[in-house]
Order: sequence, then C-alpha cells, then structure tokens
Amino acid sequence: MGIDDLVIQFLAGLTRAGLLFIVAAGLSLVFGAMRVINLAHGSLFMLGAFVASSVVAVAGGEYGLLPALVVSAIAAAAFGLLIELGVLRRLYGREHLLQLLATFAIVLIVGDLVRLVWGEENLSVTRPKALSGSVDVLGNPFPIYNLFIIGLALAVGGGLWLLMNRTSLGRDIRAAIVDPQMLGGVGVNVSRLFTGVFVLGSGLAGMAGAVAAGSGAVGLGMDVDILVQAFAVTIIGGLGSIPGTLVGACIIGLLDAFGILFVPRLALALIFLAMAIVLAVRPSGLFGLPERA
Amino acid sequence: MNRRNRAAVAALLAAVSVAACQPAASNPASPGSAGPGSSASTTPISGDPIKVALITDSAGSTSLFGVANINGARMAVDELNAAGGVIGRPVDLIVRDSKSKPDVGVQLTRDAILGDKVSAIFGPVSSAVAAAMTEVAKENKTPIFFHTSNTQRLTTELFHKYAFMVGPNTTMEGRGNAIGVAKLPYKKWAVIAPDYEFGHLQSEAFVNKLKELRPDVEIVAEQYPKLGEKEFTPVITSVLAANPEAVYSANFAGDLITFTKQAAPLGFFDKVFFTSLYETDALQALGAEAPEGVRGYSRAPFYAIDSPAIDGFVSSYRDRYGVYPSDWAIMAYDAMKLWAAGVEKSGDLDPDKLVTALEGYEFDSVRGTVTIRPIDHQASVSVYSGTVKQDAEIGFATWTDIVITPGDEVWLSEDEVKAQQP
Repeated sequence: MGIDDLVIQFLAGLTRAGLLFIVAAGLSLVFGAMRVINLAHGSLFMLGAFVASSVVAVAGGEYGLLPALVVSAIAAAAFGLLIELGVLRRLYGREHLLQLLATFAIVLIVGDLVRLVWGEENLSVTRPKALSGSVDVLGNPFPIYNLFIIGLALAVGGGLWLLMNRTSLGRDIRAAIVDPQMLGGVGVNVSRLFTGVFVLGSGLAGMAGAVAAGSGAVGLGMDVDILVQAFAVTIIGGLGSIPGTLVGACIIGLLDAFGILFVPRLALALIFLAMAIVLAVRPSGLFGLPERA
Repeated sequence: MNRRNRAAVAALLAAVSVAACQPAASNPASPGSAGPGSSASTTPISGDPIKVALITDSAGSTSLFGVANINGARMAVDELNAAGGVIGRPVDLIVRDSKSKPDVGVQLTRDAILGDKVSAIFGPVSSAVAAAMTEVAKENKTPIFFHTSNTQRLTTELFHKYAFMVGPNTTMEGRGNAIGVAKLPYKKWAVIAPDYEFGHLQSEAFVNKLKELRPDVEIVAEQYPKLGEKEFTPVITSVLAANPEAVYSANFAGDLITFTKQAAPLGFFDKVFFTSLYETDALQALGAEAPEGVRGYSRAPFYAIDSPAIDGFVSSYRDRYGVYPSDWAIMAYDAMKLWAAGVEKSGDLDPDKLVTALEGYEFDSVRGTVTIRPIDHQASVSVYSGTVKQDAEIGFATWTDIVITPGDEVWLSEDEVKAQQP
C-alpha cells in the first residue's frame, strides 16, 4: 500500500461525503429553521433518483443525467411544497412526535407510490458521456463522476454559504434558527419563510437522488438507507448547522473509506461509534445550537 | 433536541426499518395468478385447486432473480395446468415478496401454510431468508423447495426431510468455482462477498478448495460489503491497495451490476483477474458494459446447457416473455416440475409420501437428468463457469471456454453431511 492508494481512498471517502452533504444539508436546514425532523427527507431523495432514471430514459444516456439533476430537484421541491402546505403547516409548534408520525406516514406513502409507478426492480442509469471516463490520479485511474460529485457538493456548500450569509433570505433563515417568534414579531412572514426552506431542502434531496442514480443502482429501500446516514451526519455536525453538516459528512465519508481499508469488519461500527462519542460529549453536535427553550 | 425527543427519533427510526419490512397488501410484480387464459387445456381439470406458494425476493438488489423466479414458476404451473393439472387437480400459484428479510419470509411462509393451506413452498433468493423459512416448513411438515437460495446449511445443519435443494449449494458452487480457476497462475487472491449467509459460506468453500488445490495461494484482502450496497468505490479501492492478482467475488444481481459500473472507471478490470456471478440476468442488464474477459460462474446458463429439454424450454420461454430465460427462471421452473412429479408419483398430497417418492428420484430437469440424493435431498446439479464475451447473435454477453463441473464431484461426501446434520 502506497501513498497513491491512500490518496485514492481519500477521494473515495470524499465522494461519499459529497453525496451525504448534499442530502444532509437539506435535512439540517429544515430542522434548524423549522425544528421539524423530516423522516420523509430520504423519500424525496429516492423520488429524485427514480425521476432521474425516467429523465435519462427519455432524454437518452449521453446527456440525460445533466437535465435530470434539475428535473429531479424541481420534482422533489414540488413534492416538498405539497408536504409543507398539506401536512407540516398544521403541525408547527406541536409535539415532535406528531411531526415524526406525519413525516413517517409520508415515507410509507412515497414508498408505495414509487413502487406503483416504477415497479420493484432495481433500475440503472447511464452516466453522461462527459462524466463517464476516468482521470489519472498518481498513476491510478479515478472516475470523473466521483470528482463531479465532490465538485457539486462544494458548489452546493458554497451556494448555501452565500445564501445564508449574503442574502436577506439567508439572514431571515439564520434568525429563524435562533428565534422564529421574534422574527415574526419584526414583521417577517415566517410561515412563507418555512415553506421556502422546506422546498429548498426538498430540492437538494431530489438533486442528490439524481446524483446517486448515476453513481449506483436506483431501487426501493434507498430512502431509509440514506435517511439513517443523513441523520448520522447531522447528529455529528449538529442539526441546523451547514458547516457542521459539511464536517459531519466528511467524518462519516472518510471514516467509512479508511475503515474499509484498514479494519473492514469494523467499518460500519466506526460510524456509529463516532456518532455515540459526539452525542456523549456534545449532545447538540459539533456545531449545533443547544435546544431552544 | 432534548433527550426525550432524541429517544423518540431513535424509536421512530427503528419503526421505519421495521415498517419497511412489512409485506405490501398487493404485489404489483405478480399480475394475475396462474391464468386460465394460458391453459387452453385439452384435458378438463376438476377438483379443488392445489395451492402452492412462491415466496421470493422480488424487490431491491435481488429483484432480477426474484422476478425471474416468478416467471419460471408461472410458466411451469401453466404448463402443468394445460396438461391436466397435478393428480387431476389444477395448481394455483400464490406469489409473495419476502424483501430479503428473514422475518418477512417467516411471516409469509406461516401465512401461506396456515392461512392459504398451501401444499408446498418454493424458496426465496436470499439464503438468510431461506434459513428462516425452512424452520417454519419443518414445524408444519410442509415440503419446501429451494431453487435460488443455496446455503449449504439447508442441506446439513438446518436439514429436515421436507426440504429439497434444486440448485447447487454454496459448498458445491464454491468448490466448483475453485476447480475452474485453480489452473490459472495467480497466487495473490482477494475476496469480495455480500455480508450474509450466502456470501460468507460460498466464498469460504471457494477459498478452502482453492487452497487445497493450490497450497501456494495467499488471500491478501477480504471485503464483505452489505447486500444492497450502493457505493462500492471504497471497497474496490481497498482491494486494489492490497495488490491482488485475482479477485473472487460472490456479488450478484443488482449489487454486481453496481459493482461492475463502479469498478470499470477505477481500472479494476485491467488490474486484476476477476470472477463473479455473471449470469444471464446480470449480463443482459449490463449490456455493452459487461466486462469482457472476466470469468463468470453460475447455475443454469441456457447456452451452456446440453439437455433434451433446453431448446424447447428456451423457445417457449422466449415466446412467452420475450427474453432469454435466466438461471433463476430455469431453476424455479425445475423446482415446480420436480414437486409435481413427486406428487404424481405419490398419488396424493401427503408430504411424507412426497418425500419417499422424491428420495433417489431421477428427475429430467431442464438441466438434464439429476438425482435427488436421499441423505440431504440435494439434486446432483452441475456448476458452470465461463469467460464473459459479447455475443452478437444473442444480443448481450454470454460465456466462452465453458467449464461444467458435475454436482456429484463437488458436493459434500455423505460422511461430511452426516457429521453436520442434526
């Protein structure tokens, strides 16, 4: 094993981190601003992946996945809008448990819906031609698509940072994270803000689904898979913090990759160990704010 | 989030995973039952239908195999009904999805036996599910036929007289595969297998046999990613970091397709000799992306089978479904026909009579004549391997340089079986 192998393994870990970041950022944002634990976030991700498979089927493999990124994001965002207006809006300020039950019901509904529309079989999506080859990294070929995922995650991270720190919308979201009542008191339409945040989070999940479709297989069950991982990321990073989500995603992605390299049988345990340690030392996560009173 | 709420999240996450396992009320992968439309029968069938259940894994990463199981079993049932049924009664096939979850498999098996009163169960894709299902069949004295799940334990530790194995078990498959590659010059091998019953047992049988035939072989890396893994990149790069010359894999179906797509741009197929379960379904799904030169192994590749029944079977399967039959369709079909032959021979549905009828029975399967060995009810089926190559005539990749290892050369000796049976 040489330095080149370690670099490749690092990039493999970052790929996973990149995808996790895009998914978990939306989950974290929604929780931070709205204090809603959205179990249906993974379902929006799965929806995005299946929509992407259809877009590629229609548009053809050569470019198909690139428009799919946009279409999946829009489809998931639209579905998110329905969820927010139809369900969540009625549940703000109520018990977390009620929100969990409602979003869990959505998980089941979307699962069956996807099964009805796309069937039970795993689907496979062709990568666009421009992203399908590999580049040389210290003498080893590495897939361009993986670098694309890392790049896209950085772009999403940068975009979210700009949104949060350089726009008035971002200022309102940050204020909502601290004190939504006060924000309403100074004349901001908090309910519309919540809708916007939820739609944004849903869109990110949908886009991540399209990205994942190009990476591996599209199938039922990917909703729960990603949800558990995204929760691990946000618990480590701190619900509501975008930098925390980035750090959490990198911790999980890299722990996983190097765990597989050095202690393959313990790789999965390492992730949950990290989560347990963070919960024990900093219950609100590395970058999280303590629970609002 | 305070502590109480965090506990609620944990509880709900658990609920998510449990609920995700619940059987759906209706199964979209099973349109219609054994339809009367296809049984334009010459002989009128009378009497109550005989119910049988196919409980298989038709969603997720193993869906390719589960759907093929359903197709094969349906075709067998329709043929039986068209030819006058079994002991003069029509056969009614119930299809259920066990979702690769042992608890779901157990529940469905119990429902089928106690609720639907089925006379036989046809087993799943996943060996982990099969291991759980066989216990229920044993308790209820219901014949159960395994055609795709193949853990060796079904014929040894978990064996009971009502269980039959129509595919090669993990030991036969692992040993057969080792024989197929032992003559190659490679000394440094790595193993990648799905992290459950089938993956561990089959790769263990492979490694043991390979080391027996080639004491100079060394295993330099072992990876057991979970079944249904979506991201194999870190696994692939870890294996390559150990610099093996050859890699043995027990990945299959959706996982193998994902693996192959992710491995190619990492230069994996250029760097190592690779062998895995590249069977008809996976090769067809991979299309042009099937990696030429890798070594495939499997249990019933239609183009490698030389038997009186194969040509007729392939053409009626293609007429019906418009695709070539995969191994999993052929074996499910064989399992159904074996059960029917046993019932015809015993004259009624008594499970004990069926067992007596099938022990030592010479069965004319699609794969040729095989014997059901009395000691473990293992059919003497062959293990197949070959080199993957695009096939313009068929339209997807098939194999060249095919090696067929007869089952009775690689199955456990009767002494080995006795030592492991309860």
